[in-house]
Amino acid sequence: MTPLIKVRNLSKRYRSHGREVQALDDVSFTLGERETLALVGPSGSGKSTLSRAITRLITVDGGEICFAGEDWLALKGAELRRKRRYMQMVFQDPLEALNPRATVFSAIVDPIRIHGLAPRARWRQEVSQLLDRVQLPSHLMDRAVHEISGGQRQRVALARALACKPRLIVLDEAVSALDVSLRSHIIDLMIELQREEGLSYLFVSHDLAVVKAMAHRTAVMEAGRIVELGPTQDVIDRPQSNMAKALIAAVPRLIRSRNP
Amino acid sequence: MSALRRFARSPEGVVGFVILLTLASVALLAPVLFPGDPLRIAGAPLIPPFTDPSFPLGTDRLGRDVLAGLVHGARASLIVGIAAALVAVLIGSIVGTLAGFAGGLIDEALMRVVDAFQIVPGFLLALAFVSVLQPSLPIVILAIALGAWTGPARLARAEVLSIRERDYVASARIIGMHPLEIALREVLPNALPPVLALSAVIVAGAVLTEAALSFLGLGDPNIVTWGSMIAEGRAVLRSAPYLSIIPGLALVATVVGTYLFGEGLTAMLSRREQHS
Amino acid sequence: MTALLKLEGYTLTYPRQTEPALIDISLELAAGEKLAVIGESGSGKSTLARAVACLNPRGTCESGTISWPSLGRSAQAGSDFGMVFQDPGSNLNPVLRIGEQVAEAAREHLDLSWKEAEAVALDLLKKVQIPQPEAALRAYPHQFSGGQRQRIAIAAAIAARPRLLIADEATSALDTLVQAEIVRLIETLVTTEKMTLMFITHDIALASQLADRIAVMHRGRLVEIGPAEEIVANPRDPYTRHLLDTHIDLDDAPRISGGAA
Repeated sequence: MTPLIKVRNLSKRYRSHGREVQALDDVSFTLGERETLALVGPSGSGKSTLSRAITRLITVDGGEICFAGEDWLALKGAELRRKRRYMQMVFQDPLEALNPRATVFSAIVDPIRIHGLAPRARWRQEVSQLLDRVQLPSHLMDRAVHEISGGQRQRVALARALACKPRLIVLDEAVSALDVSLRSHIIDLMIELQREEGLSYLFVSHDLAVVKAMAHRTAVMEAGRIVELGPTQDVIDRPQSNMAKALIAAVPRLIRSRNP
Repeated sequence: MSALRRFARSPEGVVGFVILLTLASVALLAPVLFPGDPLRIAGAPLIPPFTDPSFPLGTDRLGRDVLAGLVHGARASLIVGIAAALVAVLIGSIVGTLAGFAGGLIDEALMRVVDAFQIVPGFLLALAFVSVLQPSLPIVILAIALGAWTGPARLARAEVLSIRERDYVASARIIGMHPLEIALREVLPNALPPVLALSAVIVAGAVLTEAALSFLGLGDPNIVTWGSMIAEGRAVLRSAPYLSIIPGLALVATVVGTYLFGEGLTAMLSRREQHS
Repeated sequence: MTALLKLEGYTLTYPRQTEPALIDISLELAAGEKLAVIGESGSGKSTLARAVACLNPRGTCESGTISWPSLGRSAQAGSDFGMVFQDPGSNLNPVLRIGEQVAEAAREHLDLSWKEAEAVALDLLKKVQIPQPEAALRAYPHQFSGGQRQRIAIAAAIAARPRLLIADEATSALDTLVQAEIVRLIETLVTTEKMTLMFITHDIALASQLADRIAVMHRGRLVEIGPAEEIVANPRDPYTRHLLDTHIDLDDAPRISGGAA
């Protein structure tokens, strides 16, 4: 079976404070349909750069991306805008990721309107269904996004991504800023959506406990390179790289008893 | 309307609002309060204020009613001030948004034009512009706007530059929104509030510039303005100082009122940001 | 033994708010103890830390007491307690050299000359494991990473040898690796310097690793306080149980089944 996305030899350097930084160094991986691949690493390891390169928010210096059978990096202008809806992104801070002037309705209807995914008469119905998919009541539709809570906002961001009918959603630290109890709910919701809509996730996170809960495979990044890639269970149970070992050791764990 | 409540909570803003509301209603009601041409001769010349009940603020040296002039002058001052600020903010935010959004060569070119305008003092620019063309209300408005649009342009550009990097703009790109729609729907409305807060200062400046132009005889000669009234009074400054002082006080009230109103506006907008 | 810090029926309402942010808080902090205060956003845990550090905004309405029984007087910032905040950027003054910022607190409270204070600062930078501490004294905050800035902030907070160190989400903005390092550093410092620790966090696992006792905050109230093991093993309050149930631990089973289709 061909993978949904195939990334080969991606590289990106930029200058910062007069120093040349290799943000991405020969990065290659594939991601299948209905699969979740986690990208973990400390800050500055390049995982955010990678997610922004794949979603084409930034340009790369070299490498190839094949997405849904197409040369993703060759797409331009109107054609890129048309195909972009298949690859969506949910950001870390839901307050930052939605226009502060938007209402819940306008945020979710944007993709439907732009890509003509439903006739105007059905918009409210579509938005209401999407809100239902992310377990929000439809009367929230007419509220401004700054009036609702952080957890509700992240669900709205998810509904906006789902409105595009995507095949891949890049989750850029999408649950890191949420309170613990909300985080757990949103993860369950994302797993459920994956099963029902056949979605693939690229899940960027620095929290291995969350990664273990929802990712099939995990790639560990360090200084712009993928230093380890394998099934999540294997990476956590038998880490090979020093970075993976350090990340696992650093996860805070519940101490149930001081003297076991 | 929590934004209005925030405005109402700032005492400067409320005082400014009351002053401006008074001025605006006086200006709007001028034809009703003092029908006829305020420039016509209405009584004996140089009646001092508070002596003749039919001319509460007295008459000037041609016997024109000072109060009628003041009330009609409010129209000219407010129209010129507000219109000039509108034109300046409009040009400024379009140029600034374009520069900030396009970046690169377009940004460089536009900002050098802004520099060029900013180097010349606004008043001199207006003076030169009016003296070349015939002084009329639209020309005066344009002349004043010409010296005032650079502030909004710089501010709008700076705002756009920071908003361009925000996640919600990235999110708009990712759902496939057209760049023009991103500029107009996502960026511009969020870049505008600080520019609007600046506009109060521009109105105050424009009112003063207009008065100065009229004082120098470069205003529209067919309408009465506070500047021209001060200029008229200059000839009899020793014997009848009130002819210059009264329109001068009106000018001060307008500028202070506008400024305070602007403070209230800023408080309202910044508190909103704190809130979210 | 008298408590270092004691709150009795402490209630706090922020200016222009009708609902109190802290309601009837009573707790005691013994000298040398490590207390973690946990809760979700809006629970009042940071408000509590700020109230202890006398950082309430003007116009705050308070009732109840915060006292320092073992001091017998009101506490002074710097020499009695030091505080480290969440944002590594805002903990330090960007235009002052590191040496000045760390030495300042020591000079003021320990009554030292600048030269002596600088020696103390150097010693502190070594203690918080800043590489090349001599050079760091003359550097500015922007030249350091987030984790290193947090180390420097800790050095400045403990410069005047306070009895209590308050860490308000001091590791939340850092990634897991750096967070673990900073937590280890705080632990070591608290032990070697015989300080008392008040550690504010949203992470119950981190709290259980670090603290002797855990205080659970919910909507401005202190719902439960007790030894860390007991809170984790036998929570009495339903909210504490809820926090534990929703916590995602590395030892939990994955929530997805098998590999990709």
